[in-house]
Order: sequence, then structure tokens, then C-alpha cells
Amino acid sequence: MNERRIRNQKGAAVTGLVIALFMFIMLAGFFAFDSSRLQMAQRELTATCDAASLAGTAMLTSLDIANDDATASKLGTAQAQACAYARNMFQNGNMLGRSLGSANVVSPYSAVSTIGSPGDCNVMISLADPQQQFAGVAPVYPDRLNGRAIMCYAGYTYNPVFLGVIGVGKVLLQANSGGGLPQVDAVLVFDYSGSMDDATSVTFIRRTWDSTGPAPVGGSGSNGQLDNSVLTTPNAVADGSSGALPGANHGVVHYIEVPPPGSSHRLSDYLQHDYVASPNGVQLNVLPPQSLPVSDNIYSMAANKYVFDANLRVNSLPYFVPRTGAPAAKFGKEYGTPPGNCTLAYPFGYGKFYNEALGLPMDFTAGVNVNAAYNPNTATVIFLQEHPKTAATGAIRYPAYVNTGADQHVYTDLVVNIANPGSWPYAQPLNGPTNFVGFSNFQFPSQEPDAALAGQTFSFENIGVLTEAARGNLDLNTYFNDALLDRGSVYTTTSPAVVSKQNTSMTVAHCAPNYQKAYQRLAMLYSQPIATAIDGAYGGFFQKINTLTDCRFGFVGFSNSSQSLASPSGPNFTSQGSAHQLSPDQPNSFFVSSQYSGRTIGTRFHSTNFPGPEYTMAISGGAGTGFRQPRRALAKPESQNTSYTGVVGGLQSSTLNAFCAPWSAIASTPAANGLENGTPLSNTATAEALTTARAMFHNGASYDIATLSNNRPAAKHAIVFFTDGVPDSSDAGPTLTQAQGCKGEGIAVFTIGLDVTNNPVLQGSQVTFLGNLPSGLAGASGNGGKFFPCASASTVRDSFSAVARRLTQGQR
Amino acid sequence: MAAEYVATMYVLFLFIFFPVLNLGTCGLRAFFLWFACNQATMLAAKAKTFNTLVYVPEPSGTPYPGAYATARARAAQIRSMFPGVDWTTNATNPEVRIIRAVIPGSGAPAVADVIGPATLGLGNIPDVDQYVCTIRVTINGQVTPLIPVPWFNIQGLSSPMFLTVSSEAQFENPPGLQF
Repeated sequence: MNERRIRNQKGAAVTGLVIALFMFIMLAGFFAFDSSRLQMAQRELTATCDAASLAGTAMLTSLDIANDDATASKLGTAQAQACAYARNMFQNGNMLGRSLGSANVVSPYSAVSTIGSPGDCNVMISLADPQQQFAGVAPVYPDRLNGRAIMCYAGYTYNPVFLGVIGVGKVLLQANSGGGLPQVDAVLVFDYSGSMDDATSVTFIRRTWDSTGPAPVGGSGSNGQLDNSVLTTPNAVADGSSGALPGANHGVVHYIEVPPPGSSHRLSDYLQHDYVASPNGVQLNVLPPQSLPVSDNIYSMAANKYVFDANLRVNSLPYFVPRTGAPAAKFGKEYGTPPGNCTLAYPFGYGKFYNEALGLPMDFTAGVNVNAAYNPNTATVIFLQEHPKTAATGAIRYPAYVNTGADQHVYTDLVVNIANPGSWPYAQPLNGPTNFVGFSNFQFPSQEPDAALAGQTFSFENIGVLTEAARGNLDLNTYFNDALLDRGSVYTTTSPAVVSKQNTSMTVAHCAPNYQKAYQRLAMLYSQPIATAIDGAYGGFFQKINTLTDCRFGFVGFSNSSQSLASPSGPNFTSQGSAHQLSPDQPNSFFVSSQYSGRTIGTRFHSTNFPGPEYTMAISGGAGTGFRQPRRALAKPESQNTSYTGVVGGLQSSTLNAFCAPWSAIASTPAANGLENGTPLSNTATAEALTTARAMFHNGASYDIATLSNNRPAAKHAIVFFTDGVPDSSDAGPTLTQAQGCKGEGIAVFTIGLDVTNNPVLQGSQVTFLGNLPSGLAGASGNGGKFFPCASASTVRDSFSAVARRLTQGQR
Repeated sequence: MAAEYVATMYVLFLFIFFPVLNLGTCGLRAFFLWFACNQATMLAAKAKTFNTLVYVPEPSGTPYPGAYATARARAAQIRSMFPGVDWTTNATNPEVRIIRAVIPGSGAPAVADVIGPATLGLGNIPDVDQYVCTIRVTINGQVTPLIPVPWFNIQGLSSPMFLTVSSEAQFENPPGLQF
């Protein structure tokens, strides 16, 4: 019995052993299962946080924060949208096969670590300051200015599948992630070649003295002065007492629109520029400094060239008349002067004129033809031979209001077809109307950076007002009266239809301080594509990089500077002077200086024999003479704010200087080496420019990527190369060599090619030169460089933003 | 029966329970060792430099100590979280290695790995069109069983098990490898 019982119990221990072993292995398996699942859940939560924070930070870099207001409301909106994007990204994630779409968005941070029901997820998206160990930032001004990173905090309540059996309850998993503060050290290479204002809508105007009336306005200062063209006796004394037609009191200023060859008023279309032969574009500038004689050039395919008439522009001959004597004060300036063919007696007009009625040249005072005010008789007056002039009929012409044949293309003024730019911030691209349309009572917005213009109201009713505003004759009553505008004035438009001799309605009441400045400010906004390019670089690149990264900037403006010509291999780190492109066959032609603010107005209008400051003055803070091509070296030691304002400070009211000088070309403040200080001029000398940009990364104590102490090793090094053309033929190879050199130095070259002329030849050339293949600058540089083509001005800012995005996102 | 149970328990605990417990513990700790290595690699791959401390922004912003220090610090941090996981720390353990793998078809020559704390050196910026730059962290460590058994020496069963674990990830800022 006992034996049987014992026999029956044999194997029970083994059974127990097997059961125990089974239980043990099962428990071990459960533990392994749950711990693995826990680990997987933790990783998924971390990955989801990573994705959300990176997406949010990337979105922050993608949104427009340009031209923000005083309370950084655009930044606030962008931050809110970026946070929302991060939250959406998080809620699109998955945890253990379940969607996180129902994740609770919580605040404050402590709520994240609340344990809820199994599967509950709490998430908090916040702004963080990478400069303060990613401390949280409240989304209010001014705190939000430091919110440069998006943080994602998440808590997930995990419920073990099996470990609950042994008392392991719900487990809280936590994860967080934040987009880091990228470091960016970038040099912008910006094209200021002549083509950068070729797409501007302009009007060529012949401002002339019209002896055919109407009669001057009564009460004007010169009322009663005879128009000498009505003299009947050659060389008669112009006092109205002898040889004058009785009762003839004629003559007012007449503005005649010089029509374009076609319907387009673009500068390049006016001149019918040959882009195939001259892809660098038109050398003529739409804003001072203007080398107006270069409108007559070999690349203009207009049947009748557009010819600037310096003699007609002003009522003086500053480069031949000695600067002595009573009339001297009139010489050399264009303020307060009637047209060159004004036939009123001294002090309103001077010397020789042409009597159309008689068909004879006449003098105010016999034998004093050196004081000739206007006489294009190149055959007899040798002093005037220097300025070639096409004459339709005969050697002597008096193109007062003639608007036929070759003479119709004689002009004195080139003005931009400005318009009301709308409210602040001005939305580029701003394209002026094809035909100038007068507008009244435009009030500059209060946010206008130029304090002299902010809130001020101006009217530009017709091309007469526009012309005089551009000349500065509406700034002071004395200018207005000295130009004989108080006698009244008329204008004639030829496109779209001829409207002859309309009254400009300009009176001395029109005058107001800063009228010229107002015109020039508006003209800057309507100069294309440079205005759009500057706006794009400013808003799409500099502002964004400055707001969202720890950065330093360098800047290289280029066209074809005198220094780059002298030292074509570069580098030239400081602002450069560029010759004003008056060719040797135009030795005595005029250019219109930009320089009048704070300067003697007598130097406003220049010949190359009496060169103006742009021609002779050394570039302040730079090298050479001429028109400014701004540059500013990359510098590690300076603060981010100094670096930033040095490049774009001229566009900001805090450092604004002489906005009235277009593009602040001759400004002498530290802010004069920035983006808005260049003048569209000359060629596209890319090799020297890229050499200089690259050398800014090898610039000793300022910045040197070859040393640790002068470098910022965590920074992305980049050159952003913007051009609207292609290089001078000899430049392509050396430029590519520079880009190839960047490859081994970790410098990415981002290229932006703009073509507003819809020129497939140019676009193809840009793809080759700037493109992503090893033969293009972006491809040759490697390191993530990329080419961004822009087929229209409207995409310029997008391209700059895309570059900024590539430089700012993807870092933790 | 009692004798049988004793024998059974003896077998159960001596030959099954404790060995399995020790082996299981070693397995779990081996995972922690790998986890330390993996986490060190992940964090190191996101570093801005390889072995240079930088502050963003300078001079007193957030410190970024470089991949080498980051990897070693992170590994040590995880080691401290889990008992029984250990390694002898020296300049090359954990080893942080820069690997530049040739991209097939690029025609680039093979180059030697660089072992931290050495860096690629100034001016030696890897060409990312030719090489994939990765960080590999290798730890020669040991994991100890839960119950040491002094009488015999079988790694993982009665005495610490020596393991070499490694993990690799692509470095996110290749130019930083020169610093």
C-alpha cells in the first residue's frame, strides 16, 4: 500500500519541476515581452517628439517674418503656426500601433507627467530659448523674441500587458525634444550689374522751353520778360524795346513724353537692348547717379537712338563757362534752372539761341556766344561738339517741342513711373504702370523708415510734377521760381494717346520739403528687379537668419569695380568704387549725381571735366572712386547685431542715412556697406566677387575656418550667390574654380539666378553656370549647395527663404 | 518522496533556476550595455563637432561638447542607471570612431578610420558626395550575473561576462568632424 502510494507519487516532483520551469520561463517571457514593448514605446515617443519639434522649427523658418512691426507680431504669428504645426505632427504620430490623434494638449509642464488611463498621452508644445539652456519662453512680446526653438514634451501612460499580474501597474513614459539654434555664417554675393534695374517702368522726357505758349501766368517773377525767340532782328538786345514782336510774352516749360518704340515702358524695352550681345543689361540707371549719355549705345537696337541732350537739360554750360561772374552761381547745377533753350533774357536765360521763326541763330548780346544757353549747332560752335547730337534737319535745330523723326528721341530726363505702393510693409515686386498715371495725396505710412517721409503726403499728378520732383525743384520755392515754373508749364503725353499741352497745374504751392526725397524713395521701390531682390534678400534671408539662428554675415556687392579691374583676382573686402561707364567717346557728357543731401547743390550735375564726388571722392570706408559697390567682411569677433545691422542697417530707421540719396550710394556711415548701398552698373565680374566671398572665410583674425580660435566650428558656412545674369566671358572658369575650392572647405554655395526678361538663352546659361551639376557653382561646391532659378521677380524672396530654410532647419 | 523533492529542488534551483536567473540577468544587462552604446551613438551623431566644446551662441550659450565627449558621457550616464553593467574607462573605451565609408561609384579612395579623441584635423572636411560619415561607438564592457558563484568560472553564469558592443549612426554635421 505504502509502496503503491510511493509509486503513485513517483514523477510528481518532475511534474512540479516542469510546471515550475514552465511558470518561470513564462514569467521571464512576459517580462521580456513587456520590457521590450516598453522600450519600443519609449523610442516611438521620443521619435515622435523629435519629429514634432523638428517640423515645428522647420516651419518657423519657412514662415514670413520680414518687416515685422514693433511688437514682432509676425514673429508671434509664425511661432503660433509653428507650434500648431508641431502639435499636428505629433498627433499624426503613432504609439504601439495606435494613433496619437487624441493626445491631450496640456499646459503647464507638470501636466505632461500626469498618469492617466492606459494609452493616454499628454503633449505640450512650447517656445524655448536656446541661448538659455532651452528655458521656456512665453509667447508674448518681448519674450517671444528669444523663442527661437520649438520644444515638444510628451507623457504617455503605458499599461503593461502581463506585468500587471505581479503588481506592476501603469507606467509613465516621458520624452522631450527641441529644435536647436543653428549657427550660420554666411556671405551674400549680390549682383549690382547694369541689368538690375532694366525691368523698371520708366518715361523719357524732354523738358524744353516752349516759345509757342501759352502765355505765362500773370504775377510770376518773370512775367513780362520777353521770349527772345520772337525777336525779329538777329543779335538784337533782348530787352523788348527793339526788334521784338509787339505783345509777345511767350514761353513756358514744356514736358514732352518721349515715346518708347513699342508698348512697353521697361527701360530695356525703351532702348530695345540687345541681351544676346550684351547679357549684362543696360548700363543706364533709372535713379541717380545716372550716366544719361549711355542710353545711346551700340547695344540699343532702337531705330532712332535715345539721345540725352546735356545742353537742353540745364540752362548753363558748366564745363566751359568760367565759374566767375554773376551767372556762376547758376552753373553746374540743375536746381532752379529753366531748360537750356530758354530764351528769356538774363538772368533767366543766357546767350545764344535759335530763332525758329527766322530760322537763324541769335544772340542775346552779340559776340557772347560762349554763354550760349542752347545751340546744338555742332558745325559752328566748336565748344559744343563734344556732345554728339542727331539732327533731323540741318545743322541747327531747336527741338523745343518737335516730336518727330530722330529728334523725338532726344531727352533730358529719365523718370521712374512710380505709383502708390500701398500700405506698410510694401509688397514687392512693385511694378510701375506702363504709362505714368498721376496720383494725389499719397501719404507715406507711419512705419516708413525714413523719418523725413513718414506720415508726409505728396502728389504726383502728371509727368511735369514727376520731372520737377525728380529734379528737386519742388523742394524749395526759390528752385521753383528760378526754374521759371511760376510762369506755368504744360505737358504732352504720347502714349497711349497724344495729349498735347495739358496744364500741369503746378504752382509754387506745390513745393514742400523732401519732395525729391519722396520721389526717389518711391522710385527705389519701383526699380526692378533690384528693389525686389533687395527686399527678398532682406526679408527672405537676412531677417529670417537673424531671427532664428546665431549668425554672422558678410556681404559682397559686385558689378565691375575699379578695384576688381585693378586686382581681378581679388580679394577686395571693403566697398568698391565703380567707374560710371561714360565711354571715351563721351568725354564731356554729363551724369546726374545722387549727391545733394548735405552737399553743395552746385555739384549736383556733372560733366566728366568737372567730375562730381562720385567720380573723384574716395569711397568712404572702401577703396577706389566712383559709384559704390558695398562690401562688408565676415567677422567672428563682432556681435550678431553688429553684423546684421552692418549688412542691412541702411534699410532700418535706426541707422538710416540719407535715404534720399538713392541706394545711399555715397553714405559715409558704417551702414553704408550694406545691401541697399549699391548702384546698378556695369558688368558681372563674378570671379573676383566669389574669390572675395571665399576669402572672407580665410581672413585672419576676422574669420578663418582654418583655425579653431578664429572660427565658429559649429556653424554652417555658406555663400549665397545672387545674380540676374551670367558672368563676363573670362570669368566663368575662375569662378567655378573658386566654387570647387569651397568644396574642400565645407562651404556650401547656394545660387539664385534671376531672369525677368524671360530670356531662354540667359536661363540656359544660368543653369549651366549656377546649377547643381559639377560644372555649376552649386554642384561644384558640394556641402549641400543648391541652385534656385527664378523666372520672375515674384519668386526672389521665395528663393532666398528656401536658402534660409536649408541653413536653419534640421538641427537639434 | 521527500528525498525526491529535495533532489528535485536541488536540480531545480542549482541547475535551472539560478543558472537561468543568472543568464537572464546577464542577458538583460547585456541589453543595457548595448543600450548605453546605442544611446551614446545617437546623441553623438547629433553633435556639432567631434571633440571641441562650443557654445551656441558664444560665449555663454548652450554648451555642445562634441561627439567624443557626448558619447562617453551619455554611456557613463546610462551605466550609472543600471547596476551590473560596467567597463574600464580609458581614452579608447568607450571608443568613438569616425568612419568615412566610400559611396559606391564615387571613385573615392578608401580612408582610414579616425579614433577619438583625435579628430580629422583642421582642413580635412569630408566630401559628403564621396563618403558617408558615421560615428561608431564601441564599448568593451562586462555584465555581471545576479548571483556570483565563486566555485567555478563560467562567464555569464557564475562570473562576469565580457562583451563588446557597438553601434553606428550617421554624423549630422560632417564639417564638424575636423574639430
